[in-house]
Amino acid sequence: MPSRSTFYGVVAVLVALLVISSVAAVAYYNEYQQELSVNSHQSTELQHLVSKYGTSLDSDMLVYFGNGTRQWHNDTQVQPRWNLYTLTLAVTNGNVNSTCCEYGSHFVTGIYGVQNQPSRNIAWLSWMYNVTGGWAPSQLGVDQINVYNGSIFAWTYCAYDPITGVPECPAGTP
Amino acid sequence: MKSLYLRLDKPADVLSKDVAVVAVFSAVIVASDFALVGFANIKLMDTIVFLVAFVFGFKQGAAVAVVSETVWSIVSPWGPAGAVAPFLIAGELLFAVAGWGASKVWGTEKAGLSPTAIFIGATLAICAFVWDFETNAASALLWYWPKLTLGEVLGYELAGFVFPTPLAHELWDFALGTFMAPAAMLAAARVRRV
Repeated sequence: MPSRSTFYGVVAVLVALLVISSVAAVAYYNEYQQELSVNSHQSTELQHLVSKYGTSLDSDMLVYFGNGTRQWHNDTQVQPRWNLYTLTLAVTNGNVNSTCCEYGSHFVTGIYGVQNQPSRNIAWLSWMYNVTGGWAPSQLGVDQINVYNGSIFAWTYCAYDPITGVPECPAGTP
Repeated sequence: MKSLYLRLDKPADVLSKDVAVVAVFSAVIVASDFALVGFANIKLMDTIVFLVAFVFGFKQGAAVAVVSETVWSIVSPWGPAGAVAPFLIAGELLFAVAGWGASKVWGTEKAGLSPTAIFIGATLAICAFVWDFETNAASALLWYWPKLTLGEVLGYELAGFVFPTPLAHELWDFALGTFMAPAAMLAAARVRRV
């Protein structure tokens, strides 16, 4: 027959198990309620965004080869968190040459087999279109430029100032 | 047992061994509290108070609880505990009571490695839960006083038991109590021989 001290010990263990499992259950319940609340909030926000912008995200891109040839790639389906480099890869089916990542971003050295010519100060330069300001050369590395629904970009193959880096594309480009 | 009044009236009656025990273990607790500051609700305080009461007696355990919790309530890196400090100290005294009670039930056992270690760990886990419950209720009391309702207390209790803090507190006390109990039982046997 077990002694009284063993009996007390077994009771203590059973009560401790009850306490620990109850605390775990309450903690789980709290966590569940919190996640439910967050999920509900995000679901509402998502429904609002879908009703406002629709379900598809797309972007347009112009590739200008500098010899008069222009390729428009319109309504490319994009995913959230894509950047200009990802979009360029998608648009060109991977026909992109680049180096990485000297300045924290890819540096595009060729598109569709047309390579930069540093000795002649000719390179692929990226542009962004703004409804109010029109076309403007990108100031950031391609990995740092986020793509949103309706974004419009261009790649132009033209000369640039070797000191300032400012594009010297023919008038009207891209 | 001499009353507290008698002891305060005749300081010579206080054994130097008791003073040393309280000073050393309180210092260990406060130092370890600072060392474990990055781990919320994981402290050696509960286990040490329990084991001091188990090995040396309730008064020594209670003194360690009061001294160490008072110091921690004042010099904690998170700032002074304020009005809730008396409730923290009262909660810590529970570990001294439990350690003293445990010594009455299991203190005579000689074998360090035995199921008794798990019993002691379980007792510490229960005390940790009561401490959490009591301090949550105290926080509700201080926040809503004097218009406190039972619903507000229950709300505070539910909100207080968020993952992983209280669960870590109870599991940690259970594990530490279980692993340190054998040493405490052996020490208790030696102290009684002295």
